[in-house]
Amino acid sequence: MNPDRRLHVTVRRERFLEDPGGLVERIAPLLTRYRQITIHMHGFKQGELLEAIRPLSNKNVWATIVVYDGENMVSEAYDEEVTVP
Amino acid sequence: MVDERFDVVLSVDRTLMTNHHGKEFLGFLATGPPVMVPEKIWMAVAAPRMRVDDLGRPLEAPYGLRKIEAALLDAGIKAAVIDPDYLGKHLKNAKVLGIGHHDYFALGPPSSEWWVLTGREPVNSKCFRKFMEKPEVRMAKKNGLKIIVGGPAAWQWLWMPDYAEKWGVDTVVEGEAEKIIVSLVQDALEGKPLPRYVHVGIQDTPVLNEIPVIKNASVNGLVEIMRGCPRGCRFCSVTLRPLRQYPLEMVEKELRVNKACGLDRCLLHAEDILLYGADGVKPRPEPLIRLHQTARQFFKVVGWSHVSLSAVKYAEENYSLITRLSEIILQDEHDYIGVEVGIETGSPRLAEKIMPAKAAPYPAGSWPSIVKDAFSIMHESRVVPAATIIIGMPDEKADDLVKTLELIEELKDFRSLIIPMYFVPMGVLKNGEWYRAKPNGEQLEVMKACLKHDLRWIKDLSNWYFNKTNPFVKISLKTVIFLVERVAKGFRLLS
Repeated sequence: MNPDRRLHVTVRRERFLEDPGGLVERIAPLLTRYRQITIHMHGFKQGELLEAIRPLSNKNVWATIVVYDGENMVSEAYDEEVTVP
Repeated sequence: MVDERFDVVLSVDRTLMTNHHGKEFLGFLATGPPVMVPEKIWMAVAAPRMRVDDLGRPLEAPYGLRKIEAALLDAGIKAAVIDPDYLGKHLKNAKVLGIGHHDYFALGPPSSEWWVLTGREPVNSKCFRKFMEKPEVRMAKKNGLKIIVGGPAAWQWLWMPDYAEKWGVDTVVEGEAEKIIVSLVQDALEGKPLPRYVHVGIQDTPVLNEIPVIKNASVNGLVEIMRGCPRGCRFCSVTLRPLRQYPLEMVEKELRVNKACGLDRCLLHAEDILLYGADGVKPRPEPLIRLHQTARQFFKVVGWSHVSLSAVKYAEENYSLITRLSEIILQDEHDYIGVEVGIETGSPRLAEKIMPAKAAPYPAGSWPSIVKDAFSIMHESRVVPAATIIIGMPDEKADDLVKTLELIEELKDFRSLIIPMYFVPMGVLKNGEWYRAKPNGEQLEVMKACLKHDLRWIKDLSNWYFNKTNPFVKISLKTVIFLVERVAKGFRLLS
């Protein structure tokens, strides 16, 4: 893991509903490559958001993961940005 | 009452904001539903109210909340742990309510097992629900209070997302929070958006000098001496954390805090006390003797949280160390020291599969004989293990349970309690009726064997354990033991 690298992930509800497993599937290989992963989830109710990220909590995750409601955008400098699914 | 305002209030429901009458083992009762007595009496025995100061701050509080309080105070943030009965006044002014819990929704062991066996909701989750629905909490939430939840059971919010939404939980923090809590709370105080969820990764997990020293007393004088565990058992999350050992000076500082707050006992806490200062998984005498001598300088009563059975065997066989440590701790020939240990299984096959390093430095295949040797050593040294056995593990076969039954039988002459833990796989929790799952025949036989073993020893132990306890607790528990014994005899468990 690169100690300084940060990843930004954008998740949109409508796309997520088409492929609910896509979020964790796409993020899983990235978990070892970044120190911090910030996920912005757009259009999710709070309960849906927690349910969507539940599979992450079963994985042996070494990165710090911070998940925001999409409405609460926090602008920071990231090394990479991806949109999933 | 004195008027002082706190920006951050830390609290939890009564099942954790209690010292269990100074008897940690009574905490097990707070994870179950009332058995054979009314709930009020059950709660009064398991989780009595705590002594508080003029502001409603408890004299003792859960160690995890004390660590978060210390991190916030060190950062100059006005924070305090407040007893759940005194929240009203403080939540009118507070901007953040922080909650830490071992089992918010009774989904973890042993609560889940109580739930499966009795079909009734344990008191811990009932109490927590009442806590979240207190009018003062609801009112403060309406007025903009931010609620941050964490602790070892933080994962449960991901399985109960509707409650997070219903109660307006702003952020769930999973992992050790001392390093990240300050910036999170500062954001809340400044009105910045909070994340819904934070998983604390390895680089944000505090290293030793980032772990604050508690500022106020912990429940029953608990002080941590190490964090993490090197054994890597498949069913345990502690093993994912890096191993950190507190220097003796740091342990001493926390002992001093508890002493200064008027406590008369301490409880040394680690996943394996005997690995303090160890050479890998091989205990060494010098650091352990110094640790115990230091603790005894402050307190007459020194307790242990957990030890591993392989470390007990290695320490005694190589250095007579269990004998030496018990001589430091025990006050007289009538005294015992209680400690939690994990047997988990009597099956060498399962031991090799799910906990290959638990037996180290001995081979995992010799696990049953390690357990017997360790129990024998502890019996001689007046150390009383409260041992867990896990049933229902994935890959468990009928033959594994037979091996466990045989081991329990071989332990019958050693002073101990054996507690079966019914493993509830996370996947099952998706089903709202998960607690209606029933143990199979062999699993029930193991549970009965544990009950038989415990009833054999519990009378002998209760005379020691409840010595100097208030008469109400003593009478209530002796009544419950008597009733359980009658029922067990009725079912011919004790023939």
